Amino acid sequence: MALDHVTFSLNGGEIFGLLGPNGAGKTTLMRILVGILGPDEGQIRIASGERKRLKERIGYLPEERGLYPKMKVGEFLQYCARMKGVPKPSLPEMIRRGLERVGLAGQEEKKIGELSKGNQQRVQLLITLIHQPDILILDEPFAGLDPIGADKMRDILTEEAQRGATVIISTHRMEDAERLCRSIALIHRGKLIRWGVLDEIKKSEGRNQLIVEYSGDAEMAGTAPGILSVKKDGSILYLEIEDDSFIPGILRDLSAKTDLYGVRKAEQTLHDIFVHLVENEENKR
Amino acid sequence: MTFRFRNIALVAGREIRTIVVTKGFLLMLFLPLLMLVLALSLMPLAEKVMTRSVKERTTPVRVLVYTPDPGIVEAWNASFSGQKLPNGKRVFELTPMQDENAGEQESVAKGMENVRTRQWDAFAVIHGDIAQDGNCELHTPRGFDMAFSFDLRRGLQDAVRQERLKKEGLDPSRIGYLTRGIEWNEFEVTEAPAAEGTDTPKRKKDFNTLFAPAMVCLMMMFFLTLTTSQRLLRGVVEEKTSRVVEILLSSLSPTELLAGKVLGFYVVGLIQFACWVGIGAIALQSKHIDLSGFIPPMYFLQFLIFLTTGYLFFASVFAAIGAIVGDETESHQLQGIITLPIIIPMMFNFVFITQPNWWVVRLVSYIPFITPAAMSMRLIAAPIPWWEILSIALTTVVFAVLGILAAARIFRVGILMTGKRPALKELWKWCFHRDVEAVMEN
Repeated sequence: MALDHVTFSLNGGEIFGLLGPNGAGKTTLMRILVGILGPDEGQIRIASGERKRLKERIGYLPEERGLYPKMKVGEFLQYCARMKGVPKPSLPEMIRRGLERVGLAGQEEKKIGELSKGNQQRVQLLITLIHQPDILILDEPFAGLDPIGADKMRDILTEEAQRGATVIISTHRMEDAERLCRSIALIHRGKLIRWGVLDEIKKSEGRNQLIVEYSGDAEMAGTAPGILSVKKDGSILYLEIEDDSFIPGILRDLSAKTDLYGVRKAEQTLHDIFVHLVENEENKR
Repeated sequence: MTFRFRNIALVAGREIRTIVVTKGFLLMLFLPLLMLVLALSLMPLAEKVMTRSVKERTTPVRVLVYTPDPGIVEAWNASFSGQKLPNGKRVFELTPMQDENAGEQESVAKGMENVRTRQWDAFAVIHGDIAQDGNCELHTPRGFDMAFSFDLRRGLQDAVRQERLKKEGLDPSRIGYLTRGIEWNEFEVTEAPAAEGTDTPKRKKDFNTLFAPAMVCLMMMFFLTLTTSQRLLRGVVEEKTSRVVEILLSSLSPTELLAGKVLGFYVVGLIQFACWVGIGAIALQSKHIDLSGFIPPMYFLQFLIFLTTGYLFFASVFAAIGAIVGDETESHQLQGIITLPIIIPMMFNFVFITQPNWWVVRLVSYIPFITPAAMSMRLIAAPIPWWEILSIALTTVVFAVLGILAAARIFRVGILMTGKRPALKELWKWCFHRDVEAVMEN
């Protein structure tokens, strides 16, 4: 089963990150959201603003992207926009502005196959945006982009969210998800492990870790009250602690036995939370 | 399942533009004309090639003949009396071997040596009485023109025939006159009543006038349904392998995409059909041939009905194949299996033409794979009642619609699949798979 009882909700005007290891079911979920695949059971409920067909309200950038290489850029954009219900008279202006926005101004008459790979990706992004969709679904939007392209992508996604669109992205790049997403859902083996506002997840899932640089005998750390686990890496100790109230006592005991050179609380990144949650799930199996 | 005809029209329009405005399509369009022109220009060339041997020759073909009856050589020579080289000399010069003291074995060896050393162009040995149970052997050097061999054989046959008749005391020219063929003209009286003061309408009917148009129509039906369906399959496979299909399916339903493609390729096929008919009509007009003498006027409408239903059926099957295969190479294997039931009825074309109303022929005409081929021939060969035409057409339409619905379901699941080709059981399951659709709320 590709997906098993995945339930979450999200708001308009926010960027939502769909995270999970390879084969977790992210692409399947996105295809179901877009309407390319159908679930065996369940519902997708969308607050309707306009009476439009769902597919016309969605802009979708698949992970494996394809274009018609022999078609002209303008012709292909017109074709896709018309399928999304954009009226014919407004098309030339929309295409002109869209091409300007993605940095391809004046390329309407070029054949797609003549464009560089990077520029072909820009055309694909524009297909996703051209009809100003209410919902944007982008599968690995940063894949294959150079740093400048990635910056441009981040800017565009933020602009779209500010416009009021709901943006759903799937990515392996945790730093991008952390920078862009207000909320996330973590999927593993077709099941939803966590979903919610990123800050809240970080708060609830983030482990309380103390990093201590020392020299001497730190054997006592394993038995001190308030310490849940100890990991030693040369002269650095990673102590997982119950809560901050135990820190003074732990440091007192450590300094009695060792020389302490530095102490700091670990910053929990989304990457850490992701790895931790996936490992937990794997251990449960 | 919801349709937007706008989307179907958009897909169809793109397919038409993509195919029609290509050099390959123009070539296909005018291919029959090119072939016709080529055939017409090759005919004089072929004639030239056939007569080249005689035209380029300045000396007669010298043939030495060993025979117990020198009289036959004279008759053989006489059979070529009408044939001359451009310089007025005879084409063949047959000379009997004159060495009465030598035995057969020695003479034959000598004759063969003469051919080997090219002193003679050929050496013929007649054993026994050629008019009774004898035989003739022709010995030629390497590279001897085959056209001369044929002429020599025909000449000897004529000579022997004449000799036999003379022996019986019969005049060969009189025999030829008395055994000549008769003139036979067959006409089919058409069902349309004659206008006042005119003859009953009729059209010429014989195996050639029946067989030739039927074969042309059969080939046209076969070519149009099969090549158009194959083109559709290639299009589906290309979109699948290039992954552009996922972008399309984010805007269209698979049924819209499939319907648009089927419609687009159908229009392309019709353009091709119209051009061929136009080219054919012009060609016949230029030769002052009345097409209605060979094909009933209503035939074109009936042909179009079966072209449409046949195409829809094959298109749905081919589109489903396109959706489940991984690449074009893989599709060729399945295409072969599907094409076989189309080719088999073509092999039995003479049955459909000569026995158009036999109950077996009428029955198999209802099988969708056979319908287009069968009907394209039957309709030319004999009048088929309208109820039968309509019921066969309706059966094909039902199968075509079922085929398209099943293909759309298979297309939906298969088009994004990669890896192992689904088994028949899986395909069956896909045909009945029901999806849950999104709900929009206010």
